[in-house]
Amino acid sequence: MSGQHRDATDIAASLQGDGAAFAHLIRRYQGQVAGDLSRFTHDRLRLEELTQDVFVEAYNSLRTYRGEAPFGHWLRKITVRVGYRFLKEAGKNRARDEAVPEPASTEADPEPGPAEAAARVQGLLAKLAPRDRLVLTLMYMQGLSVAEIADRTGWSRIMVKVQAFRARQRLKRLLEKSRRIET
Amino acid sequence: MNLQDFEKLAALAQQASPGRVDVEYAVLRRLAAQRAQPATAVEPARLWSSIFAWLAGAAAVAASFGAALALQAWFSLSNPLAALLNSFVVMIP
Repeated sequence: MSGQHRDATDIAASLQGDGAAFAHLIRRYQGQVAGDLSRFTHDRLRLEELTQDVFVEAYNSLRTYRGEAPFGHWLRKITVRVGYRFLKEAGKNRARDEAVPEPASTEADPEPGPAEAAARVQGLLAKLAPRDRLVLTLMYMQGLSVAEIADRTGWSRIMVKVQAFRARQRLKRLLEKSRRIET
Repeated sequence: MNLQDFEKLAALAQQASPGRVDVEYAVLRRLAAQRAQPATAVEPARLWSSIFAWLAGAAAVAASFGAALALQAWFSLSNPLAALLNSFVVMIP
């Protein structure tokens, strides 16, 4: 049985109230969802919480899934929505939610590992507005194209381009400012 | 750090893996708790609050119209301020 067919069977069963079928979907996609969300936060507890949020939201709107695109693709849109909500909340309570490293510390280790690099990038992006942070996270941390970002966020391609341009300008200014402080 | 350094760091960050995440049990527990919650206990409260919000809005609109009409009646038409006010009130459909 193909993956898509298995998903369709499990979705139909989940809609009938079969919890075990939805558990199959969770098992199949939790790695993908957690992987995408790890670009938004490096806090392990928050990551697990957000991953749960995605599946709860997916279950609640399962009836709206029309099966036109693969289930994993649909789930990715929910993941971005949940991630963006997290960024907005984190923006409001930055000090509480995210340990933001100081710019000086970003120069500390010239050859960091991937996890350290992710923490540093998230720390720098945390200083930006949620909208800027979202587009840069999807662009740089997930390596998505303009078309893919537009698809996942529901924005138009033009809007993604404009938003990405502005966010990059603001990031550039932020990096220059922190470099000036260091010197 | 400049933008190029940042882009290199971000490219490296793409390789980071969150490791194994297992949320199956937690999600199913949350969904069970959600189902057990009496949905009807919340809905009437929401309904009444929206009804009151609409009523308050309608009352505010009616009060502002009433105040405008009362002011119009208070001033005589010979009063220049009343004429000005009258011109505004007339504009209101």
